[in-house]
Amino acid sequence: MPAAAATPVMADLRLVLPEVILALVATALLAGGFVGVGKNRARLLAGMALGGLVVAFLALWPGYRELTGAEGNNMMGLFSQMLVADRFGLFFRATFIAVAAMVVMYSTRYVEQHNLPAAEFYSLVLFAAVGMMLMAGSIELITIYIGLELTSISSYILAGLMRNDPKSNEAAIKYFLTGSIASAVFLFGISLLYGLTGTTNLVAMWMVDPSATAVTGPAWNVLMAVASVFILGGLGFKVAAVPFHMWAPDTYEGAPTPVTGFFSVGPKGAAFAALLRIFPLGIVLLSTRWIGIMTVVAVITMTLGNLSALLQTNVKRMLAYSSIAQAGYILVGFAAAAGGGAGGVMFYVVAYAFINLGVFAVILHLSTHGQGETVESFNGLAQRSPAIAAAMVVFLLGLIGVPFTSGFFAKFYIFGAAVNAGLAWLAVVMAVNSAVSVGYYYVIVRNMYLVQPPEGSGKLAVTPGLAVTITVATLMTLALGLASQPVIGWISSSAGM
Amino acid sequence: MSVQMGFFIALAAITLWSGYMVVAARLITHAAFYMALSFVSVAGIFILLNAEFLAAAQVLIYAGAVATIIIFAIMLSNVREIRSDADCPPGIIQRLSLNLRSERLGILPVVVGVIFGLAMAYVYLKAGWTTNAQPAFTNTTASIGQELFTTYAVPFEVASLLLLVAMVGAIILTIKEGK
Repeated sequence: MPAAAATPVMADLRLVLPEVILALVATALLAGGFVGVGKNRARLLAGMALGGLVVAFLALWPGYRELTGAEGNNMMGLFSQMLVADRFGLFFRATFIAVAAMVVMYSTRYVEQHNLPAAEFYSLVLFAAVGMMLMAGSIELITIYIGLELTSISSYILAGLMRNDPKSNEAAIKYFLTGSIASAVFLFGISLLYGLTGTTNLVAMWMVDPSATAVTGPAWNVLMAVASVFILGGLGFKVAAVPFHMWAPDTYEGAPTPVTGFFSVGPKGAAFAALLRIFPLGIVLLSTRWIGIMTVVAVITMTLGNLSALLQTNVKRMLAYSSIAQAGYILVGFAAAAGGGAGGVMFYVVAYAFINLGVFAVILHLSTHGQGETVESFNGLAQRSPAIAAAMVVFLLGLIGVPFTSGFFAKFYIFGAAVNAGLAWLAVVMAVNSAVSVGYYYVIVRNMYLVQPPEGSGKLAVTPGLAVTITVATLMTLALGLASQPVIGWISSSAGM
Repeated sequence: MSVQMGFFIALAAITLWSGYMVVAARLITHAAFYMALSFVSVAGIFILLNAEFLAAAQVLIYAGAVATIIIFAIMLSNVREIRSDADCPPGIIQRLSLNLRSERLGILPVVVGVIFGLAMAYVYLKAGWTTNAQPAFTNTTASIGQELFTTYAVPFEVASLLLLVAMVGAIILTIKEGK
């Protein structure tokens, strides 16, 4: 499946319009820091960022037309194959634009309250989104690496934006130091792959004949194994898979809350997209050994994440471990690649994105009223904000994987893939883990419904941005659970990649 | 042993030694200078590989710009010593035993480093890369420039966004408040 021949620059540009628009808006936002004053400025900038994201989303249309048109192009190489337009990429790029839009919407009040630099905040979210889209929209390791760095560096800065809070500083420093080492490890893996195959293009790599390269025989396998371990290590750090998860709890706790929500779905989803590109395509020869590694990593990631989450009282820390556990479930999809796990990973990433952003929007709702740090701050939320408490229940059910939510279909999809791939025991481990996770998710539900609110607390007012985010997240969680057919259809047409 | 091999061994030894000294130096400025030295000796290895453009870039960017900026940053901060004199006992035996126990210079990092080095050496030897004939000395600068602005134009342009983000980050994280 070599990509189509190169097309003129303008035609290519049409298909990466969303990235171009977002980069331009992000740059303009930096200048926007000088416009207006006080609250108005922050709101103006948020509106600008949101507008840019909406336009970027609409600008996905030419690519959609091209891929679904009569000619039925599968994969179009753009700009000398540095980027590609395909169904897989379009799926993730649309998801990442939606994620960034929700992050911008739910952050507005927090940015005002905590006096964060609004222009830089929204600009960095957009730049990170561009990096994520480049990672998903490329089959070229160099572009994937640059996208990864654009996302990572924006993330390091976002984590440390609360400069007077030592925890935020700690979050940024830890994320930065460990993250740059992970990037270097990833790059080293790429250099080994390049040395072996003589190309950084994943499709070209896929077509390399091992017997015709400088390294042959068993040595090829050894070096490929080493290279894939390095790449898995580098990207495993970004998705916080055990044993590369050490940074996650501290960073998630210390970073500004909207940023934590963004980390848990954005850069993580992009790293999963990159893994999906690299492993099935580039390292196809190693798939048997890779399944073993992925299985082990998946099992320890979900088990350790769930068991540690049980012990937490800080909500952000608990969600950090919960997000490690969810990454473990997604990794099962990689181990079960032979049974169609790739599609499961795609569905899981988008389902989890909306659910987790919803959870963080609820935490932000509490934080606008000076709460939201501990599980006790959920006490009596059902009386203080009934609608939001109900939405939170939907999200938590989604995280557990209860039917009629997107979380159920996501788990079901990966579960089925594991059984198909002959890894039924892995599916059982996953089910047991989901049962364990009920333990800590239930604490929040109990506190919301069965515990009386603190004395003298009335109804909590909700800001428009949060209301919209929570509504969208709830609707998407239910829609993907009840009517997932169009999404699954799109995924199965693109999982061939 | 050819002259090239001799140069390579010397440069590799300098790189490794100065790399160790970056973490082992007591004064942070010394660590910065050792890092510059390791950058320069890596540039020497690039020259041995006939990659003269990379060597020049390595010297200009790493040994020149990066090392200088690090030294500037040290001058602007209050940190001088990684370890104070008080931590350093006078006798050579005592100092050695302290070094062995310290996390930064002691046995553990050396052991980890040696294990990693041996593992990679084993992999490389087992792989038995064919020793390609030395490529003829050509003007790599022109072809690198051509590739950067044609094939690799997209990553090259995105790198500019990356630099912009890094610059914004440096400013926003260090600017003095209450202007």
